[in-house]
Amino acid sequence: MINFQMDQVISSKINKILTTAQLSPEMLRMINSSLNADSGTGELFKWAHLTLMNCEFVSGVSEVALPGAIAMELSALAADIFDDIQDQDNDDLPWRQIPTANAMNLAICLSMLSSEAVSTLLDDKDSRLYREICQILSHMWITASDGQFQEVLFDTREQVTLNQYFEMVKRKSGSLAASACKIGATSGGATESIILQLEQFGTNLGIMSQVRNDLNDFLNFENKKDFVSNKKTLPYVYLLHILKGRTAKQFKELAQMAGNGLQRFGKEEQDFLKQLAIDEGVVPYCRVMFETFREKSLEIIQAIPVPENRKKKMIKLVEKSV
Amino acid sequence: MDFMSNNIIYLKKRGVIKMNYEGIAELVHDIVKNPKNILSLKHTSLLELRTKEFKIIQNVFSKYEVSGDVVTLGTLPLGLWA
Repeated sequence: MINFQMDQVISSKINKILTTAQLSPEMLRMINSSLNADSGTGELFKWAHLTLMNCEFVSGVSEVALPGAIAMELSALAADIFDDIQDQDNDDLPWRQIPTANAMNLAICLSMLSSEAVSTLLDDKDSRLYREICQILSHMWITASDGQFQEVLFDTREQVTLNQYFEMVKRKSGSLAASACKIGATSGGATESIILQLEQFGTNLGIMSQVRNDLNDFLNFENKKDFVSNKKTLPYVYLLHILKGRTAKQFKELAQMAGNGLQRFGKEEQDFLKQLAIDEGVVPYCRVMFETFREKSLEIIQAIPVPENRKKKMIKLVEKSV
Repeated sequence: MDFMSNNIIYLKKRGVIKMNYEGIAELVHDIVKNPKNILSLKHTSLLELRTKEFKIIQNVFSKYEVSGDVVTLGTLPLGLWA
């Protein structure tokens, strides 16, 4: 089924869940304007499609994964909202334009609607799959929230190692994509070994996505608060690690200045940080790490024993990320 | 000591043979600071190390121009799944 048709199916199933939940018109409106609001490419329901793609990869069909795919879409949106509340950024998104208290209510509602989506599996009396998907989702929420917890702790630390950064990102971002891949593979009836391989594939995909966001947002002072919030992104942690002596001291002072408020972190300081990033190799390092995880992802797909024609979409997914 | 041996010693000293996140960071930083090292990475004997990360670093640097221009900061594209 091509994406456009599948988008309509996903949309209709989400509407059914929303109708059954008997939500207020205001909450309904908010959910509808939030779905796909952060799609940078115009592609709709990216989390649902990632789930369906994994199911198709292991079984040749994708429809069987629809309940899990919709649950994944709703859960990922809820996680995104919590993340933006935590970071206080992405001000143009719908959930950032309502009071924080209601953004939290929206995210809680979406995470419970995600559970409702999985429970539609019980209509088909497939309680084994229901249990397995519930377990994958709860594991994802536990791991991702622990990752988010670590991230906030890192904000107040002067020193974070690259190993600590990658462990945190694996939990925070890797767990979401890993969950989508695992739900898809489980729905498609894959063996335990293939499920584990696709879980790893998803983890790498999530890390790639985080590395890309970290690099792209590092110097985006207008829309992002990464540096002024002392957020330990990959460029930041890289600079912490490689800078020595006077430059390290200057970077530390700059970070302190940014942390004390945007007014003191003016154009001159922003330009200094930009030049520092260029001079010290922030871009090539982030690209090397991005490529490293991309390579690992491709290796996993190549090694899984499924017909070669099913691998094309997954390989394209990773290669198009370059 | 020839050019090649010097470079192997350099790489061992930097921990490149036993690659890790910090090792990659230090190697990338060293190459940015001293672009001559890119030449050493292209040497065929070094390719025999078969370190995957090593090849990735080579590829990234073969595409990357250390021009100092703001454009080089660029972005990583969003791709199909962003």
